[in-house]
Amino acid sequence: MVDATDTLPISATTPGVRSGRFGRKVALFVVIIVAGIVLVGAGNYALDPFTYSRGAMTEMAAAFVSGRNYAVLDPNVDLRAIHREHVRLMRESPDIVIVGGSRWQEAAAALVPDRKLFDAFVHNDYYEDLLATTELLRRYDRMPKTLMLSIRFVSFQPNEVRESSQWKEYGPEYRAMARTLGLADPGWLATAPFEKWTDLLSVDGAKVKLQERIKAPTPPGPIDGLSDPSRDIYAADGSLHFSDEHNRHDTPEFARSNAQDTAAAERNRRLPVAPDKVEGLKKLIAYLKPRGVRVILAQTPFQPLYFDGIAHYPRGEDLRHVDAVVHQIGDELGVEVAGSLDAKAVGCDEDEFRDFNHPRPTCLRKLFQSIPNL
Amino acid sequence: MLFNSYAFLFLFLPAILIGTIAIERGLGRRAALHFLTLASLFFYWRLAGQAALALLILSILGNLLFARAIAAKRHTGTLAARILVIAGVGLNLALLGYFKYANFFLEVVGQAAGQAFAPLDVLLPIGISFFTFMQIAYLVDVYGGEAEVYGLGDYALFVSFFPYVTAGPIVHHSEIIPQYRAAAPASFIERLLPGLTLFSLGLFKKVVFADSLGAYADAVFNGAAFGAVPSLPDAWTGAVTYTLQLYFDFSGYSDMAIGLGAMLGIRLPINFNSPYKATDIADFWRRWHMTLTRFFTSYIYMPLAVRSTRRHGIGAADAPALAYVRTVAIPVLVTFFLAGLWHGAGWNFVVFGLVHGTALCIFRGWRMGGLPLLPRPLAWAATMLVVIAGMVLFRADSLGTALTILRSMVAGGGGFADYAALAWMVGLGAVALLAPNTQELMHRFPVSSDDIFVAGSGRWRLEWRDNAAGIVAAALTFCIAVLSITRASQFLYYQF
Repeated sequence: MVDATDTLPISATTPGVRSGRFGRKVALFVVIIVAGIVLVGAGNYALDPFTYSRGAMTEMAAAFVSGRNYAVLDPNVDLRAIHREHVRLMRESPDIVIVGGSRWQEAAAALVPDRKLFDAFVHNDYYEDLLATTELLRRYDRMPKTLMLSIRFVSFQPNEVRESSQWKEYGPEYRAMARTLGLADPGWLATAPFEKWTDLLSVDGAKVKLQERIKAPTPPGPIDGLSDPSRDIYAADGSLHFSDEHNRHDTPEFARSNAQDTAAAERNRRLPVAPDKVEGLKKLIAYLKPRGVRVILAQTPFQPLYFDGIAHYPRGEDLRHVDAVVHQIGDELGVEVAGSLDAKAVGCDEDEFRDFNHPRPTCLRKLFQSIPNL
Repeated sequence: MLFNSYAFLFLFLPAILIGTIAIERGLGRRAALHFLTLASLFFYWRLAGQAALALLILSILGNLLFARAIAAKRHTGTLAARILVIAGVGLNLALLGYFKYANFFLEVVGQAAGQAFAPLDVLLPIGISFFTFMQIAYLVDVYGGEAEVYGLGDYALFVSFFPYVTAGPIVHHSEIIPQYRAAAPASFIERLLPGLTLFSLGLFKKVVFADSLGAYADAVFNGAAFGAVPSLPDAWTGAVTYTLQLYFDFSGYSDMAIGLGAMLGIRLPINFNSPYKATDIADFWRRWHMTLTRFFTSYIYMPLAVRSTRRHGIGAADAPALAYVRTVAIPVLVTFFLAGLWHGAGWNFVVFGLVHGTALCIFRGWRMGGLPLLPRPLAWAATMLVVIAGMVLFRADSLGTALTILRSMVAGGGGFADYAALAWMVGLGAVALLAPNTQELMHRFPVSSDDIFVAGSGRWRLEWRDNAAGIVAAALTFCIAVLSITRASQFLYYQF
């Protein structure tokens, strides 16, 4: 074996001098790395204000509260952090609040006439979001008359197999509600949104955001209308209105092919259910009912080609199990269950979807109409 | 906690480096090694979980007890020692068999019996194939009188050392444990930069090269798994991108492991030496997953070949063809059958092993028969064809998927090739074939325990030096790699 000291190019004669020389080299190495990381981190922070800058999110929330909408270059903003600001600034409680994921993104207030609807949907929602949003509404005394809690196929998924950790942005609210309900508090470490902050180190992320900025004819900002050629718009009611560019892309043909491809890719993937999360939801409902809140467990349908494509596979079996769990909770606690995973049951057809699981407003309207006295 | 996760890079690694240097300076090398054992067990627990950690610890203690018993009986009674070594190796294999092959066995038995058995709920502990093999080799060497019985501290670190516990290199006790007893090679500050540079190169290979290629390979293999039949260009794109992905992924992991070892003062063996530059299949296996090849050669192929030669003589009475079958073909095929099965519980892995074994038999027969050697480019192309076809078997989720892709590679329909994938293939193919590998780049610094690259040989113009330019290049490599991590993706060899 060759000893390192035989081959290292050592010119210094004394150990102290040699050590100092190596120390300077290590320092140079570290300085370059720190500089690179700070540069990219700062770039991401500046280019993605609706994820990282509380000031920008407060500005957006203030626009909502004043009845204006907000145009963005990319709808992938941190909706949880924005809702936190929005609910904090709200002047009155909504009549109906939808707590769910992006399948509710186009649930605009206009779909439920004569009611003040707040679409509190978030991206990649899980069970924790149900508790956290409820806590947010409770904390700022904005609890609605009707709370629509939406379960999706991965709502009860154990944390360790999840594909997204965005729910952790709601960590403090989730933990507070868990404590209120007498559930185990998972602690700060398990709920801190580390991934959101480490995303600052993504050079790809910075590149994409920079390209968006360069290409955008108009910067993000408050807007009165609900349509724009290139920018997506978050409405004051929380709903999302896609740009003309996006609408041109999301054709029924695209939805059909996306539904078929996704069904083929997912049909054998299992959907585990964590029993403690099911129990947690039951406790949440039991907490809400005596406080005069009408709770509706609501489910949106899948594009029919997707639903049929997975029906006879493990994914279909697991979806039916999640559906059965929802109905069992409804029966046990006496709360309404609205909608269905099956588009036929809601009355939606193949063309009323953007892709395999995002219904268009016409489909969502049918779902709302199926709920008595909403 | 993967090597390419922020938790490892910015919390675990700095803590280990600072802890090691502080303890080494304050309490000495021995204490620093104990600290590394604890750190390694912590690393394994974070990565594999509590149950797997318990299994690792039990495996270490059990094997050490067997080693002690074998060594005690070695001097008194050969039969007792033989029984003990068979029991020890058998227990290791039983453990591996249960965790890795139980469900495959049930599936095969079920198919044969025409009855489906419910699969067992067994989770494969990460690295079990690696740490089991290292310990089997140790027991065999103790039995053969080629290894002493080590103390618990040394042995536990040898088996659990975090740079290699999950995916190799498959180290040999004789190259690791003596290092614990020697003074640390170079001072911490001197060994830090070369180790960090090699680690950075490995991280770059994994994050920038392998993960980028993975998207193209996944599209083809996942599509075929769901019943799609790829076009001829797509099938080749999937096969070649995966061939390159696996190389950059696994050799990147190995570089990171060797770099970590170098930083911590424990030199590890080289695992890859530009395998795609090989011009015959034997040469390929001398360059690919070298420590696995070394294990199979020493503990399976050689004993089989030697036993066969002893039993039948050196072919004096046999026809050359029969001697070839007995002393070459059968040992090679058995070895590669087991090597295939070692990689995974599935028929595709068995066929993968047999394809390589058959190719090696043909090559050895060709040589023994004195047939003319192929021109170098043709020999390289033939070798790569076997390697790429083997990779299709290796990546596919089933034999059926592999056959779909292999059929398309031969007689698939035309179709639009993905130019971005093509650019990656050409670019990274050139890196794999023409550029010096990481060990050659680092040849001035003995970061590994092998000395096949002689320092100062001047063979390569491109080499890393610890001058300002070298440090800036290494830091930028690390920086680009870290900033390219979107989500820590698992190393491909973790599944084995």
